[in-house]
Amino acid sequence: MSEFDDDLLMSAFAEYRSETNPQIKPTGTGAAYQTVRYRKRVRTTAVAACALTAVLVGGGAFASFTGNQGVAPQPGASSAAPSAVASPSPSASPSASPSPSALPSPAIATSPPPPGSELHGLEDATLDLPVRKVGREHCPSGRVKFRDGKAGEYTRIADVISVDIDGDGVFEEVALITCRSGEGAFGQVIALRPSGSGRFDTIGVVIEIEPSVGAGSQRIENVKRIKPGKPGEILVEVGNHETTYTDENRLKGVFQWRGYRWNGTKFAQSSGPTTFA
Amino acid sequence: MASQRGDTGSAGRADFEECYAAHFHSLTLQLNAYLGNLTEAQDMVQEAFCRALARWDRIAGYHDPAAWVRRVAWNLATSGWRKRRTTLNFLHRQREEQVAGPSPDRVAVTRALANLPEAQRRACILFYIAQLSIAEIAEQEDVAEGTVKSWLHRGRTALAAQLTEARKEPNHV
Repeated sequence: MSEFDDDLLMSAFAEYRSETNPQIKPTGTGAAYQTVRYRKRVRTTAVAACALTAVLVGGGAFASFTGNQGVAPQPGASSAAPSAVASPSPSASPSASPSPSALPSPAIATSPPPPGSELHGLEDATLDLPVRKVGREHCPSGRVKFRDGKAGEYTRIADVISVDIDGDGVFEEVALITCRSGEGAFGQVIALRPSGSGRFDTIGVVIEIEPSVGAGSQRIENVKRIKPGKPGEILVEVGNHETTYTDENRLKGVFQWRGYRWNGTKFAQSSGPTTFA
Repeated sequence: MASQRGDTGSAGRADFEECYAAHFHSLTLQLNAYLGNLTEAQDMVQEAFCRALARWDRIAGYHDPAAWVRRVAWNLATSGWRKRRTTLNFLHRQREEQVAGPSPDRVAVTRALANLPEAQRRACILFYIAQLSIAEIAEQEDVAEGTVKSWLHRGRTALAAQLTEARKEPNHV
């Protein structure tokens, strides 16, 4: 390696440093403190939930073991919950070794923070709504401002749940947004990532109704409700063609809960039936 | 108790803020050179500092706390953390303010780095951007110093050849 080559490299890297440095915008230590506090809160809540589950299961097991199945857990057993909550041990998770190579695995948070409002702060947010497969002529897409959970004549946020979809310990929001321009509501479930200051970035569509191809189809033509499933999972109650068109044979209408997860690139079904049997 | 609340004392906070101010840019430069994506690099460095802050009381006692943050940031860059976050950040990235395009020289150095095998790329970045010694690189990479020297020799030769070639191109300004 010649001296010329060495100069060439030093010069190229120096130029890279001087050009890139001004473009770097540190998020700031304030944001770091906020993130850490939030994650600790999530973990504490999860510990509390686990402790409560343990108490209930333990109580049930005790009742079952003693044959007193109708007897509720005694106060003595449930008093274990507060002490477990009062001493969460965040320091237990980091490795005792100073080596940072043993990274703590992402916190799979199971309990969301208190939402703050019924629609988790989305009621007056401006959201990026994906173009719908059905109803695009009546239902807004792109940047849409909501007021009190509604946008325009037909669109409203029907429900919001918090789910840690990527298992990083931070909850995302999942919203069922309906657009009712006629008899039925066009449901679309989207995942949103809080980006601070009451703003949200749209991650993508979890599920939405598909264009109708008529009776007997296996297509999802009704998206009715959402609820959290196992950690990271979103449960959606979906219906077939017959649940939507009331002038057809409603007895054939099938509603069922299906689970969806983020697979790293998109949302995909992870549980529940795959056909309207 | 303070650390259990997610806060450190005022002295600890000052230390953390000092460490953040002193190393955020340098770490972002390193990861950006490795990943070729400034937003990803900044996210990973921020995440590394968040993980450090969560246990700052302990890390502050280390001989070189910044080395801990650097290793965590590099672990994030070479692990699946990036892949998990990539798509989530996609829309966020799209809305970032547009900045002037990089100069041909910068493109050349990042493009040249991207063509290197990963170990050689890491070694060159740690040597030229992080300005670590061969011994420090060997410690971070958990390999013998001779291995680092070999990576550096091959990486430098390949980089120099590519940069020389890039300067000969007619579009080079």
